[in-house]
Amino acid sequence: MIYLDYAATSPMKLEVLESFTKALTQDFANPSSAHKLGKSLHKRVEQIQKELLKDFDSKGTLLFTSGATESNNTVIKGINYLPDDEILYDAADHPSVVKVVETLSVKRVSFSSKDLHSLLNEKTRLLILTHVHNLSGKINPYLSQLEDIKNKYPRVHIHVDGAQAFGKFPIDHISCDSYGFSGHKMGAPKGIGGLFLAPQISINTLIDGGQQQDGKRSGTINYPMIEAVYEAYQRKDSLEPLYHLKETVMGKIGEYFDFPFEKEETSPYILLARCEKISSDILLRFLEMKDIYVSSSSACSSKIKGFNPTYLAMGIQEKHHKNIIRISFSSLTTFEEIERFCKAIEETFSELGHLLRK
Amino acid sequence: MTNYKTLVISVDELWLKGGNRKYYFNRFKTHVKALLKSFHNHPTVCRNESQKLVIESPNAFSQELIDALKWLPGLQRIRPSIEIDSNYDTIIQESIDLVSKVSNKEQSFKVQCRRDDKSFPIKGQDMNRELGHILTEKFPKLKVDVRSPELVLEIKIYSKKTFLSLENIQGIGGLPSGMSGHMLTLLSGGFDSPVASYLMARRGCSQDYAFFYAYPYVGDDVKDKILQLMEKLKRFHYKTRLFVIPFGEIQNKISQTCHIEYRTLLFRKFMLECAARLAKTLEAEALITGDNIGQVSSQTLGNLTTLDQCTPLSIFRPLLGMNKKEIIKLSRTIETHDISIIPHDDACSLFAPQNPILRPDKEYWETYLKTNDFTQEMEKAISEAEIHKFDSRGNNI
Repeated sequence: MIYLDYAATSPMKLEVLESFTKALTQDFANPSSAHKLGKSLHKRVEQIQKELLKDFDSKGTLLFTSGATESNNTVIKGINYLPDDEILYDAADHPSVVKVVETLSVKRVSFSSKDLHSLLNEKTRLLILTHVHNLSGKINPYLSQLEDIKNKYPRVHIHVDGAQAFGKFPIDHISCDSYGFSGHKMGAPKGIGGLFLAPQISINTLIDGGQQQDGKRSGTINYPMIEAVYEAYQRKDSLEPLYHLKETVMGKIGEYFDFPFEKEETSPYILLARCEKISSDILLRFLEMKDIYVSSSSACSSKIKGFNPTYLAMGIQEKHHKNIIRISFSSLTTFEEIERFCKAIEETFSELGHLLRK
Repeated sequence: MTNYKTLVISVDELWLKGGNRKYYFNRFKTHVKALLKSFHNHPTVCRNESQKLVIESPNAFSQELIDALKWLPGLQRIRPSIEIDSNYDTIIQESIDLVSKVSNKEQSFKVQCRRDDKSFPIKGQDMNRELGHILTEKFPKLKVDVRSPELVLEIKIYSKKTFLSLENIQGIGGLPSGMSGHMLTLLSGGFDSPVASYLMARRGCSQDYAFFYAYPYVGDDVKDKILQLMEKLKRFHYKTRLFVIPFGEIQNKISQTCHIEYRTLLFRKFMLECAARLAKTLEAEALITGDNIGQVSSQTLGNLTTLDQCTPLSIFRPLLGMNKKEIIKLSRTIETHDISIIPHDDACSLFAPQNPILRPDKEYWETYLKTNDFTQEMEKAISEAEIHKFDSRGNNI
């Protein structure tokens, strides 16, 4: 099998699995229990929080959630909005931003492809930015300007969705008020994620119950998953080989595809490719017959046929919506896999030659 | 629904049958019994009563059973009934009881009484009048309307027993399943073929189904759609099967070897030939398709007649002369409309020529078929077909 859909989800790293298993089978006590076992685990969780916060803001808070979707929900729904307030977001964001914003009766403004600064104003209460876009791999160009934005508009809460970036790219330069992430995109299990909150930031709780995590996110503290996240986070990939992989693929399949997003502005983990001659669904199935897996759009919405509002917001013309594939890599991807993948693409196009649009 | 322990079932077109009547009736009864066994887990007695089938059970029949019976070929209507003694006082009392359950809202009604047993002292007409009067007195929300009543209390008086019924459930009618033989239906995801299947099922044709699956040019969402359609179509049959025949490879080979404008027609030719080969192994005696003349370019007279010569089996095309709106209306009747309308990948859009052939050139057609033999490929496709079986309960087995 050649798996090139790591942006959808990635397998657990073996080292992570080891410490995860240990935590599940030996350190399984409830960190909120009053006994020694519980207390020592509670201490360990606090220690992990402290370590992870070092890269964000050591005076801030880290809540563990079920994943980036919950983290986004927590922020978007947890802010107290005034009647005239506005939410500034990008219609190309992941559904866990777009769909959630749509549930609120707050005015929402999408800045996609427009200049963000021209839309910011005194009424902007929440600004949502995606660190690395899940489909295009585009690295958000505004992240270095957040301090200025914050100075100019002190009321605005800046939230960054880091699902495709956390554990892969540095976050210490990002002056945001909250930052959400997922574990399973970086080699930790599915079902765990986190939400960093800057100091003095308080938002309404989304999940109430047993008052765990200082009452800000109830539910039994999932120590084994937290340990796994920490373990995975520590094992950051070196980006150089990934850039090399991506460039190699672009070179080899460039004959059949074009790449709507520049290499320089995107993550080396993600490559969005467009082939006008063939629908991505068919290509996907030809590859799956060869046991090769790529994505034809975000896994959450790949059932939708034809028109895709996310693609449109990303600036891709509607006539090309059925012609987009996403190839995504990880440090597990080898050059041999890449060779085989590119060869499979070549074979597929030669098999289908007589059917392709001229 | 009231707890009905008796079902009176009318059989359609029984009057047309002379010497065949007994065979016809038994065939129908077998199918009914299979459904009873599946949907009514209690003892039942089936008997013939003046050309009707009467089913009795100590336990009330479920809505599920009645819903299943509705789709039974040959069944004209079902009256869930209450069976009582043919005694005047009992009839009056039970009628009041039955109507009391539906008398809480304003509605028009009439009583429709028939004496099968003319020795019963009161004429049907008189019973109608008397009972109508009693019921309006008793239930002020009911108004008599003999022309188009919302509610009809039907009373059938036989010598010993009388049946009371408020419901008259229409079936699909026609002939019992299998009376007209066994056939193979070529099923696609559109509106037409399920409707064609229904029309032939109603004429007593039991069927198996073939779906030509052009993977990898189409994805499994199309197959899922076909399986959803089968959930509706299986209701017409005692037992049925769906054969998912892999066809992508053959389509690709055809495309590589033929003039581009002949692609669609040749796909259809080889689908029919493949179906005919499969039909032989299933002892199916004819093919059914959803063809409709002039609807798309592959359905011109020239193309249809060319295709007719592809197989020794008869091809039945019950939709040939229907308008699209009529077909869509029928698809709503048989509840396939909302499935057929789901968008799906269409392999043809990839293969489809800009200008498909309308009047095939006989010489080219024959030369192509002589020089391109896909027998092996077809046999392979049939042997690799994925088979889904459905039993009388409609379980996918």
